Amino acid sequence: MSDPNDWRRQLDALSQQYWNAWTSLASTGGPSPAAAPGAGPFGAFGAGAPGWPQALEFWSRLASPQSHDAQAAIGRFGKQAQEYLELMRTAAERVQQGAGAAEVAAAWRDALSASGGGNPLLDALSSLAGEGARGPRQLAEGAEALLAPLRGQMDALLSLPAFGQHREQQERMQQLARDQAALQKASNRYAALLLEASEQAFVLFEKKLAERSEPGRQLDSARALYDLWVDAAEEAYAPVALSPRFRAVFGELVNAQMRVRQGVQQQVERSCAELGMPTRSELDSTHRRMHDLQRELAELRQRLEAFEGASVDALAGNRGGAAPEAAASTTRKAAPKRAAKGASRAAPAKKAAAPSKKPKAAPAASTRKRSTAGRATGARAGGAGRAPLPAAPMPKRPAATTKRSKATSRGARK
Amino acid sequence: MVGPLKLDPQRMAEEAQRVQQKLGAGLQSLLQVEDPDVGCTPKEVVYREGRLTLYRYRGESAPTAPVPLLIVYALVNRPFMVDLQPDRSIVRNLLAQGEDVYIIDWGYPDRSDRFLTLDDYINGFIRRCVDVVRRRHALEAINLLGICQGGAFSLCYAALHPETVRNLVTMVTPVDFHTPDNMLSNWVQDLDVDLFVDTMGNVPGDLMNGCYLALKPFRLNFQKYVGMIDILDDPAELTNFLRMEKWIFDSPDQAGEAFRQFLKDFYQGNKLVAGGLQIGGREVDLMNLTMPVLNVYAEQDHLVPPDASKALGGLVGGDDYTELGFRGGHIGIYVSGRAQREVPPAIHRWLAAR
Repeated sequence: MSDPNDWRRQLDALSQQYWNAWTSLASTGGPSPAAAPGAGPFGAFGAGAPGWPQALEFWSRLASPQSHDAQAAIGRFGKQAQEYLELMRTAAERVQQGAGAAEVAAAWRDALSASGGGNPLLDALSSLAGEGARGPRQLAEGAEALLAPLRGQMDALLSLPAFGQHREQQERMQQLARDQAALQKASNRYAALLLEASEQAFVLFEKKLAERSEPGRQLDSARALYDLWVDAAEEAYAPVALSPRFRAVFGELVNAQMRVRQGVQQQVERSCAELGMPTRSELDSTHRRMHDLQRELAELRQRLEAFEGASVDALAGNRGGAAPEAAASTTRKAAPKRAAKGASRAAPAKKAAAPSKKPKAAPAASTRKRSTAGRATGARAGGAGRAPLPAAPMPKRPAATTKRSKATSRGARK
Repeated sequence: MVGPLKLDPQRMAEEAQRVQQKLGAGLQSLLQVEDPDVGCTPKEVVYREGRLTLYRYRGESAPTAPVPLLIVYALVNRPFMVDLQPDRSIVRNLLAQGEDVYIIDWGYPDRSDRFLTLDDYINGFIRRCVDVVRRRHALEAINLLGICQGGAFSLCYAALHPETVRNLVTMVTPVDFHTPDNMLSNWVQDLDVDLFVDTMGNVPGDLMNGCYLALKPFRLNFQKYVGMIDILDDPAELTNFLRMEKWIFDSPDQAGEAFRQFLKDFYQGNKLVAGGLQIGGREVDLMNLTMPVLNVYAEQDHLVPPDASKALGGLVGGDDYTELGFRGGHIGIYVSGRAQREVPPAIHRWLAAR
């Protein structure tokens, strides 16, 4: 295994070149010799100097933590930090000293276009993919992998009328082709809507930059510039994401993806069936039966408990779990002991109670007609058939209770 | 006329050098960090059923509260968020207040759980867990604390089985799913949920994660990782960051049928408010919530907007209803330092008075 100190030395050397370019700029007040002519005072960022993205890529390869969680986080960090630093580099190349808000915003837009594309919102949402997260685009990509081999067949069949022995299969393939075309249209509409939001983000960004164009409010670091962009982008995105248009476009996109996916699944199912392999439908059928049996079993247990008053644990036997806190079962014989325990627990609460007006609604079970009716009919979902508990009195409520009140976390409860 | 930028080359060079130093130190830190442990408070298994495990937490001293508290967490994330690390644990702080805390861990459904319904979860699993706790303590009713989707489930459970719930606490719980600022709800209104579930079966956890990240794509997917540079040289902070990452991306799949009904009846139909919600063939009427209710919401919650939670106030049947607004977000209400100081004591005080 390589020595981490070696890696660190290499990273230091790479960064030292970068640092030298900056110190040259700072000491001479002009671009380093390696900068391209006319690149402006920040030309040293890009021309001739090793880029931060390269350093970060190098770093990401070096950073190999043992922890799986750390590896996943490094993967996400590396990708995002690389894009951030590339953005900084590209923007700095374009920004002239003393540039106004409009010029900075334009340079930022150029930098984004250079690094990823002109639709930063679409790029942001597309980049959600990684370990532990998937977005709509990744959902489509999942189906695409299965769809690709079928595409040739689909194209051939699209224009032919369906008849004959393979009529149904032909119709399925034609439908799949139509669904795929619909998905493409839906994707295009989604991307177009996000592009509108991205345009609005640039407008907002320029506005925010203009607000900073006064002494005392200027941005004095690359990070501050980046954070301002994030504020603008999120502010532009939120109203679009809350709009009826987005609702319709997003719904159409996901529904279209599901149709394509379902069509592909049907093809796979047919192929598996022909090869004698288990299919999703068969497994679902089995699981549904298992589920129904489990429900029936739970209901039977419940009824048995109601008739015999036995504990669930005693009857189930092998369900596992620790012994109960109080006596091992809820048999009537043990009830008095637990009642005493319950009473002694209630005592401190009673002593602590301050005299005040009585609460209006006491939790008296006798007022709950619905649950009583449930027990009488044996309805499953109404508390019916619940094993009767030992007759332990509920701890009495302290007399002081708060009625309707609203509070904030600043401490005041009323 | 001045521009918006005051980028001094010397200062930018210093910033670049700082980044370089952080990255270098990060190489060492990353070699030191191990997989972060989660769930810091000791607990014991008291009941199992299928994927579900019911735990009882063990505090440093015996509980003093006469009625135990059962936490019902959401299905969409892992429940260790309420016990993330020693200085960020709602559970630990509740135990310190004397509460006797249980929690349902739903586990990780697979395709064999595809046909679990909301009836199974609410009238099945939750009901049986409540019964286990009731029997253990020989009580007719216990306290329930529902979190987020678990809060919605707790509302349904308590409305259907009110005699078993002494006091009900909901945290960041959506009730009105049609408030205008609910982004997630907006996205699913035109979804063909039947087509979706029939095609996908269970809903993959990473798809849910993608949706949550898409609520704030730049902050949650870009800016957060750029900010990671700042902590690369601090192994302890890095571990905390990785622990949060673990929770964020450790999302179970959603059982298909339960997801179908939750989306259709709650998100699309908004039936907790509009009425007509049926679980297991019985109507869920929030007017049956005549027990005391404490509704805790987060004022900067982008997942469950405050108005979505506060709608509960107009729907419960009892007179004893308390709202508590927390100045923070959907996650901050569990993990921020201020949350630890404010939320568990407030819950305990409220419960102790009832």
